[in-house]
Amino acid sequence: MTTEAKPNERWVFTYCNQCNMGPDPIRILVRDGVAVKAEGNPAFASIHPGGGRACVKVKGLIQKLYNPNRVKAPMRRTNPRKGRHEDPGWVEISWDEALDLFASKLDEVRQKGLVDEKGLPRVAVTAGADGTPPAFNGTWYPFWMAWGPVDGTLGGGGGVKCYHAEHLYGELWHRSFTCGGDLEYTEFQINFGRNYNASNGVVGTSREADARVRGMRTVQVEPHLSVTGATADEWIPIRPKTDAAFLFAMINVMLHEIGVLDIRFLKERTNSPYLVGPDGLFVRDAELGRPLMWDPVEGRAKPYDAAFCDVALEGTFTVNGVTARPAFACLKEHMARYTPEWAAAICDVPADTIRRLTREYVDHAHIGMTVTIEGRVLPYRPVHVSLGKSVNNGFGAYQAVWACHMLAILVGGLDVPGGHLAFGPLLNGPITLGDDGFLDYPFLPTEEEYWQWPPDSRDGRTSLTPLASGAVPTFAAAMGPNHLAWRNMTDPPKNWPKASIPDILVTHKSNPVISMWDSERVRKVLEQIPFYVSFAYSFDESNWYADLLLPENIDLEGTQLFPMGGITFCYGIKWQYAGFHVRQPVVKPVCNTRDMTDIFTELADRLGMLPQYYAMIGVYLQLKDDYALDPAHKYTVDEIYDQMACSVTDGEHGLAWFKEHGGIFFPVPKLEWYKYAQMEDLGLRYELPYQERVMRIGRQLADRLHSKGIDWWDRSLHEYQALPQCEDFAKVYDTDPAYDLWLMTSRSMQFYWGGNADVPWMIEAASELIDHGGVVMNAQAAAARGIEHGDTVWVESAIGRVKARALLRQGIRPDCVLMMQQFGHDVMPVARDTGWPNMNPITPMPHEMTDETGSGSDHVRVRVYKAGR
Amino acid sequence: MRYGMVIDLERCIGCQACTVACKEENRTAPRVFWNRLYDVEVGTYPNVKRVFLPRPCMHCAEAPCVAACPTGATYRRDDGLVLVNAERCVGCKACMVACPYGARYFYEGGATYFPGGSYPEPHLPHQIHQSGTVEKCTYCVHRLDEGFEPACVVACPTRARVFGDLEDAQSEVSRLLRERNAFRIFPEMGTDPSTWYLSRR
Repeated sequence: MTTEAKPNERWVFTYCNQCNMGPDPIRILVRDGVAVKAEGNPAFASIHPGGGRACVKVKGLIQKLYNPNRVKAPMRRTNPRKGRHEDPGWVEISWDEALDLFASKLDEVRQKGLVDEKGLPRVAVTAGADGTPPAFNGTWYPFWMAWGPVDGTLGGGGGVKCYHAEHLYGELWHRSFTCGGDLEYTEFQINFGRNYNASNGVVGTSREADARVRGMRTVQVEPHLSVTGATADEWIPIRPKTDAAFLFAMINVMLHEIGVLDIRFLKERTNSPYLVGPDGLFVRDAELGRPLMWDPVEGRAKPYDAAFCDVALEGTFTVNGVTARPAFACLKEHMARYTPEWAAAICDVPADTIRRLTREYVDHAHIGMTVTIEGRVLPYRPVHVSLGKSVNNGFGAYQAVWACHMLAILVGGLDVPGGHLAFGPLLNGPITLGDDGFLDYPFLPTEEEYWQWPPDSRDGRTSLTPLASGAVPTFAAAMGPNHLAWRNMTDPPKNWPKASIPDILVTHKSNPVISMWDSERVRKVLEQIPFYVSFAYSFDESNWYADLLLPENIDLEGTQLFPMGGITFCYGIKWQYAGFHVRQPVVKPVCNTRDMTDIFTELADRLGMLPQYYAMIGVYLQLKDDYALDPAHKYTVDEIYDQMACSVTDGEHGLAWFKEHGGIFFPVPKLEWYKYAQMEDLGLRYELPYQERVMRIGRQLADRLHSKGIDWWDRSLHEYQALPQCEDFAKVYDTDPAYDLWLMTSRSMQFYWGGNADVPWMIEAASELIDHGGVVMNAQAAAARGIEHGDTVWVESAIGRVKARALLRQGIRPDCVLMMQQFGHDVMPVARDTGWPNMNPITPMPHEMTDETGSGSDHVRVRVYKAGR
Repeated sequence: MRYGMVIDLERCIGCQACTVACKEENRTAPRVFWNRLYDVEVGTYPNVKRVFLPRPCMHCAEAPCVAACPTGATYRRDDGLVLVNAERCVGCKACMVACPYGARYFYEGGATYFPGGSYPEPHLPHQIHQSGTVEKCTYCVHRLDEGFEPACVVACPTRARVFGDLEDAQSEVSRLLRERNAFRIFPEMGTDPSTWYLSRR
């Protein structure tokens, strides 16, 4: 049963990409010219893996559209002073005036030079963490690509609010921007803080629900019982930042107690047999420098790509005059110390629990079983372990990500049906053969002659975090130490050049004062930026410092054609179809807004950049030659996406067809879900367990940084280990006994990536959940402090304090407190009336607590006391 | 013919899509929840469970609200729907006291989501609310009468809600009640609700 339109009604097809699990097809009911309802589009029920349904955020779109608090026209600042208590003095201006102003400021920069005397781009642009904005900002990226160097590292949370270590190491090991389970098969999963009921969109949550009904068992390991923990079969309240120890103990139990492993997978698809010398490097053949493996039948070592009767995983051999052991033997010895008893003392989880769950994991792996997918026989391993935010960030993240992947390869479960799968946008290109039989990976250079110095971005990623990858432009806020950009512009660490303030900052879907740590520091930077342009939906805490507000056509108003589905596009979802879907105005723009694409075309025209801009549109939208844009013509947004529509359908359909039908989809072979098959076809090995390359790069980077007198990164340099060492990473954070509680955060589906903190229906829905509305505390821990439910309390860290209402719960560890999502607004209408708190203003962003990938963790030590004391 | 709803608690993720879908469909006032989703904890740390319990109207066969209504405004249709005729309701709230499920709300009128805003609410004919009356979930009677499922059923991303005829043995709701462990809230009160729940493992 679906709703049909009446004579004065019509359904308009468009998409939702309010989170990075989208886009998903939706439809809007328009009655007498007014949008009255938004829902999933049943027309795509058989193609969309969520059955054409939508998540709760779609239900906020109507209010988002008609929100009377929107920025209704371009606005210019009249108060030249910028500060928290300086009213911007907004005055409405015409679009022509706004675009002339913006273009003239860009032209001034162009006259001065795109890069300043410190080698940093004068223009900084950010679209938040980049996960969702591309589906809404049209030709934003082509414009900046045509412009030249821009600094994309002043992110609003990318790098610290993402799955950062998983992004970087996942890309290195198996082109996996994010990792996840294969829920059509999963029998057993352990989630360390993975909060998929908030973050996996309609497709992910419905697949999880199907799996639960089918009988899948889930164990949730997290300090606070989240909305995902609520649907798990078992909750293990682990001590914060100790997940790596738990995971290491699981590997210990597998190697030293259970001993049931997928030996064939380890021998054929990993570097377990590679021989390691006393210097920790692979032992290589003299001729071509190829790593050697030991053939126990022939009793000699040969290059890894030679023919072998068998390969040794254990033993000690003399090769090239040195003593060598297979990497697996090194691993086994290395892991011996990480017993469940060792982990129990760190994690506050009984050793027997770790043993029991490890046994369960191995039992459900069904090592040896296979399944046939589209005629090809593949291993079948219906178990996986997944990691969540803050497990994947900061110190301990490398260890956790490595251990998580190790648990997969020990049972042969990486990228196979049922197992631990790779997801994401192939930032580093497809699976291709690199050195030593591993996947190629474009590390940023650390050799003396190629290393970037001085830093060429404000976060310093090219000098500091080689794993951030040379294939990813600095547009991509998700890769690299974004928080350090704010730090480096204010008080850089010893011997690091102070980063200049950019001449121009442009933001879209980003409110860094709210979403970045150490808000006061962010405010200080924003105050100093000479010209700040905000693409603004509503007035917010960051654009309070702006000089120009440009309100663009939002979700239900803009026009775009965008990829949908497939296996690489979404961050955690695979589809069996891939295609393109339209976003179109469902009603006439409610305010005096313009489409992003038209705005950038106007800017390019004013700057005389149309040829370069069109060329980059051709690259970005992958326009075939027949549909390349003509520099002599000024295209409207509809004309640009008409060219794209024709290009992707080889002339069969124009934009008008998409506006009527929504999208076009083509089947994707199921086999493409499983990268194991590609690895096998190319004869590739996963670069696991042994991280010889990471270790070598770390040594080079140490030489480079030390040559510049930089020693504050040594803790991070220590992380470049061939076999990661685990410790009690909580101690990195827990250094001052004056602060006796952990402050953490969690997400809810109403707001996850949504940019919708000012939609009243979302606020009201979230306020019905026990976590939203204040600071969540364990009831017993609160009682010990004389705090009752509803009391106003101060939550104080070393850098500040925030006031919040105490919400007492049982589902949180006594040594933890929690603030959901990111609120603490004092400008944004609706949101500012909630009084809901935010941990970011009291979370510091020190270099010393940033790991080698460039991420920090959403954990800060605090104390909590009743207000008025 | 008896309309009923089955809510699978194994599928529910507490996302509140049902709550907001009801808001969107019926344009109820702030803090009026024809559908409410309770998020509660059971137990004491560390042995604690977090439970989501969506609560539409139970559309009871022996509805206490019908019995309590002095004007006949609340009535039960032959297809099992318990409805309120706003024209007859005098706002005495006796039904609210009688309902053991807290499913009824008094609409005072006036309140909107954007104070003084331009938001077009209410808009559709069925979305007219009469101030000074008691209102509640109708199982989206206006949709049922046109052959469509309730808005919350359509909106649920995890397909936790199934709607149909409890008296039709072939219906999906009947099949689920046969095959899974099902329960109703406060059955001991003799209300005979039409809203059922499927237990978690």
